[in-house]
Amino acid sequence: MAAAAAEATTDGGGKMIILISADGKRFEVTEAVASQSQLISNMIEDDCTENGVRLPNVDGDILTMVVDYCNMHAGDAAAAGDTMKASSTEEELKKFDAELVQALENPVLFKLILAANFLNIKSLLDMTCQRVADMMSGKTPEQMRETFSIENDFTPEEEAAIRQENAWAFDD
Amino acid sequence: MAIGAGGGDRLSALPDDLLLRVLHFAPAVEAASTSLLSRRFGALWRSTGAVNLAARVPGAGGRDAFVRAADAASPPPPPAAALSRGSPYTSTTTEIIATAPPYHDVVDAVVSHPAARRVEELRVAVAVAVHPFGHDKINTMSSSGSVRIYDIKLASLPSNTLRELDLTNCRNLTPTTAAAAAAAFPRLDTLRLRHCTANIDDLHRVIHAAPVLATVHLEFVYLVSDGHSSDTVWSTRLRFPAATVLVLINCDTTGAMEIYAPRLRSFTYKGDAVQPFDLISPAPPPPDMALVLKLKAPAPRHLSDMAFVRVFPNIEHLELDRAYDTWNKTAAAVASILHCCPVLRELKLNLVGTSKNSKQVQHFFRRNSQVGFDCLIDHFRRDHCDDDDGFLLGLSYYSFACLKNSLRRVSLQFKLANDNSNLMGPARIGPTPPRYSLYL
Repeated sequence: MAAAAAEATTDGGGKMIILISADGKRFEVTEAVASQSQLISNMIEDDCTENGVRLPNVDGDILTMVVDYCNMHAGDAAAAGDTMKASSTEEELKKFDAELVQALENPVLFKLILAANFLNIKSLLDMTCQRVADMMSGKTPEQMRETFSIENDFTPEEEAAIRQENAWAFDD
Repeated sequence: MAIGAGGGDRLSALPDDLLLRVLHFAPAVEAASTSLLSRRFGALWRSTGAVNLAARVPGAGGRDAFVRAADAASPPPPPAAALSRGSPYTSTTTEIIATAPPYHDVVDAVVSHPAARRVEELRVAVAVAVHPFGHDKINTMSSSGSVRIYDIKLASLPSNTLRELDLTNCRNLTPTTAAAAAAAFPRLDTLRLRHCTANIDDLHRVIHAAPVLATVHLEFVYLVSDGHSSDTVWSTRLRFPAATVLVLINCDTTGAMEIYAPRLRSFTYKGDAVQPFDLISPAPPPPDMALVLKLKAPAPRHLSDMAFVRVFPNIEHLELDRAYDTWNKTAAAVASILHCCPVLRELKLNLVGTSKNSKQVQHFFRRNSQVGFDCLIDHFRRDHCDDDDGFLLGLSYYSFACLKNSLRRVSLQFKLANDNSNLMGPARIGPTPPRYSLYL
């Protein structure tokens, strides 16, 4: 755990915030970038980001992705801070999002969903949940179990009853 | 403990609210089949608040399976059978997306299910392959046969709890006698219809049954009137007694449109000015009344018939889309509209022209855009006094001194319609239509 207090620095007027991951990695981002997280935005309002924001349930590798995403999308929110780099075009954003989400595999994807939920970043949460839904699309229950490593804990009788109840969904 | 420290099955490790979010995005078939995955999933999918009858991923196998199931529907339709056990709705927002006619009885079953009685926001979007409003318009108008828009059954809606109703590609808003009873929609405050066909009398019955209906948004709605002999009906009367926000975008009526909306605070109208149009608002409009008008299509003679401006002396923003080939005849009408807007702050003219008057426009392009409105008119007066054809020239005969104090911004946008004019070739003007904003 990194215990040292993080100095909030300024960079051409934009206040910087330090985010600290569960494994002690530190990320320095502008307020505009960080406040896409509703959680951090609230903390900024309450003035409790002075010593860095500890995120004890987000790993460094996941936080790297989240920060990348927020940096990329900082132009979205009409914040338009003058220190912000030229906001990305819509096309670039779409491409970035598509690549990010396509590259995600199961364990990382679920970690990212939990992080997006914890940090309360709605667009990232929707995007990652949509990705899981897309992974379900077109699959039979058996294929879904395989994709997501889900163990079938029904008895054959219970399974038959459910199949009958929702027959419309299982007709092949 | 860091996120993700768990076994192999990380999907099941997600909390309920996140699993629901995932299932919300999943197509109905896949969402329903998660009930078979494990006890953890069970009947969770019933609580997502969404019944995505359409697979979002094109060509997915699940979609085909579902189409078959729906086609083969012997009563009761498949999801009805599924939904009739247990309680499918725990959420108060429900979104139904259906793609094809076979889904229609499925939509009925979902909407009318007793468990839907608590729903507050309902969106029904019936997607059609060929859009009925454009190409298939005739088909849509004839009320019979193979029209692929959905006949919504208002009586089956959760009318008592409904706050927001959003229908796309639906028609026949026929309330039953029960629904027509006073305040059948006591809480309904927002009604959005897109690409719908509605009988005006039916629409009025719904409006009267919704005493707090504040927002009405009609987009590509074909308003049909019946019961009157066609040669006596010159105007379609629309009454929105409680509406404060009214949006009419490309709506179609027979004859003129007369709008009665005494409590209106915001009005947006976009579409053809083919029919004359009258907005009746007995109470003086509030000073912050917002009004956006976008008028398209050449039908100059009607412009002067549009009496709405007289009722709104407080218009601050006016936007007009016109073909400027026809403006010469309507310049007077536009001028009179401008005269009726003493506090107009922003005027936007989107002009569509042909080569016939491109020379005039070319001259305009050479001008510095940082000129006053009167200056601009002067230019046209000087440059085109030999040319008696053109809207801007027409305007130049009028004085706009009355606007001097309020007008802050004039935007003029020129577009060439299907034109291969050598005067305004892309080499000179550029591929994008030039846009001028004058700040005064």
